[in-house]
Amino acid sequence: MDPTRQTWRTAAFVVTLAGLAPLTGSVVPAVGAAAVSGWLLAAQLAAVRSVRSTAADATVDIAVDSERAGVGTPIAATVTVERPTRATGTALTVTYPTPPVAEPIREADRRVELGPSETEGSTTFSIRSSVPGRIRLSEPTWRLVDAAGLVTESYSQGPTAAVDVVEAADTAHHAGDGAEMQPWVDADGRQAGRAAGPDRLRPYEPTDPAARIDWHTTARLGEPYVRETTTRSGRPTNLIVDHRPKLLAGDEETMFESIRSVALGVAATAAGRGDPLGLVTIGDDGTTSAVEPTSRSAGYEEIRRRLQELGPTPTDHPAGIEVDHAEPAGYGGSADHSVGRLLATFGTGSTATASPVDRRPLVEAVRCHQPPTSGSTVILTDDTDRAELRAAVRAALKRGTVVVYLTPRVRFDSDRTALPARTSDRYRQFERFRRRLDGVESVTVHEVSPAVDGWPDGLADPGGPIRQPESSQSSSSSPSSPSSSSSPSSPSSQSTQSTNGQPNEQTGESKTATATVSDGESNE
Amino acid sequence: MSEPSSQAVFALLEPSHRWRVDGASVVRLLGLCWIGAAAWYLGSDLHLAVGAGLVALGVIARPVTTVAVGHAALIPFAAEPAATASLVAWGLFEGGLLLLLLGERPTTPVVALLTVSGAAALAATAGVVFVLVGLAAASALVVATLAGVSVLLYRYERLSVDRLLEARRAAEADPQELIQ
Repeated sequence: MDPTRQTWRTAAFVVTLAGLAPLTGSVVPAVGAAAVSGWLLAAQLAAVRSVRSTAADATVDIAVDSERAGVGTPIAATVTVERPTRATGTALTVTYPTPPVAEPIREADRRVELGPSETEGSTTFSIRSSVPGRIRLSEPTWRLVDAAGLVTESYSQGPTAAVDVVEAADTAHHAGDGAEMQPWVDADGRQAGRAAGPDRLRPYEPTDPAARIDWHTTARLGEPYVRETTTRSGRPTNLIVDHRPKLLAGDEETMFESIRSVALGVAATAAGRGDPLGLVTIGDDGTTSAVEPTSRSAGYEEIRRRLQELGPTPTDHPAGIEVDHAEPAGYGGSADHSVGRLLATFGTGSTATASPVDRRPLVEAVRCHQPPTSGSTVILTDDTDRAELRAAVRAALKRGTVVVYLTPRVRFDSDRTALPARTSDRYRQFERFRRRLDGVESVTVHEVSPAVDGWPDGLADPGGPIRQPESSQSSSSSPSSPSSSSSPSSPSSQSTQSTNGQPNEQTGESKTATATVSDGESNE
Repeated sequence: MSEPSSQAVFALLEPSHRWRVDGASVVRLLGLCWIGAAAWYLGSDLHLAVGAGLVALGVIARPVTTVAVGHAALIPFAAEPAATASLVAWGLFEGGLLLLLLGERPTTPVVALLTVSGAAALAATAGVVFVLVGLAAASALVVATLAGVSVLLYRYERLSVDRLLEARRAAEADPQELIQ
């Protein structure tokens, strides 16, 4: 808390009067000093109470239209500040800072102002970035002044928000069959070189290093341009796909079908980038299938085939796993584990079976099938067993970054008679869980859901900070017809982008794995 | 990126000395009327001049400013503290000034009560010190009390707000704990 000019002016009156008293030999100025001091102390006490009350009870909320957008696409962010009547008595402003990589936003647009008697206010502003990366809106700054204008208080507190800005050209179209999207892979399916990605030119941004300026293009076009090169990460990605019977929920599209569509997209993206890719499928009794990380065309094709043929495990299916060793070296996870030993034993290309190993198959699969080197683990499952998922993420974090694609059970439930309020509450719980898990360092969690049109009544607008569902993450393709989902021109197709092990140049974040699942058109 | 300025939040506050139709303006008006009536009742040219000057100042300036200037202007009236006429003149003007001070916003019963009791306690303590030690010590006591209590208030506010914010952050549990 800081005194204002008004406070200092009043204190100066007190000092002047107190000084006049001995100078004039009169008690009148001293009495005046005591009176003004009494008022100043009383007013400051009231100010402290009102500032504390506001700090305790006022809330700020930020809701972004979408957590993902293409380069140059504006995203509306709405900031709402509320406080109960008992917390009035102070004037306050809440200002969100401009993200470093976003285009400048006027302070007046980012600020919510409440007068001493007002209880609610909001503002909406657009975030736009001309470079890909993650835009983070950090905590807002609060400035409070008591009604008498005697003291000010400022602090930073409140929710943050993040928006992933993805490239609208190039990588955003890596949907479906990756074989069609490998301009930098030769005819044999091998990479052409380490700096394998296609070059792309874009206008220079103030945050770009000067060394990246392409001087030939700059001279030709008359304005500075930089050349971007997409590089392969070379880090393995392990796909952990859950296909237990519980994923059969859903009317027009089951949770499993949504998950499989996303898995196919992730596989296609990894194939397109030439990153090593592995696959582990999970049934009720444990691992049902495993393919070691491979960067060969045949390996990608095998993974794609298995995903397309994959279906929910029957509840009474025989226990056992099928293990394939495309590239056996260094694979097998924990050596003292049954599956690990089994994989180590069958170190050459072969198929083997093993007994069920754990009552939490997802956790066991992550532990036993970790990539040999630091890489990414992509988990695709639902949210019904959150404890198991947390344990799986914890285990996966030991070997690198984790990306989770999560289907909210509430959005696949066929119970149309459920109360809308209860449905919304369940979805809020899911979203809260997803955001918390997403907040863990090196963990990214995406929702996989059917299109918004398919939401149950009452769920379309859950309200609150998640009132704008991530329609860009909707899964609307038909996984039973993979050829249609692999066509970028299909409006219902999914596009999947996976960038593994590439630190975000704009933010320098340690979250090194991001993945995007969106409608084919929304990334344009 | 520029830091958000403080000017915006001050713009939300209306200048406190502006007249409005509210309780504060009524109390302020009563104080000014009291001062005017006291000057008219006392009747001398000096009283009328001081009274008119304070009323004029009270219309345009903040009440606290008028009170401070008023106490400086009343020094000649209490030149002879033992004289009844001096005490009556001072007391009449003092009542108006105190009423004027209560018209300073925020005008709430709590603030008014605290102001009256605080001023009375401070004046009484200063009076005791004046009798025992002297006028300079009494004046110093007033200034020191104001400074000391203000510092304590600011420290208390800072600590309590920090604790409030920490509690609110803790309520939104650390996501890392989710997987611990």
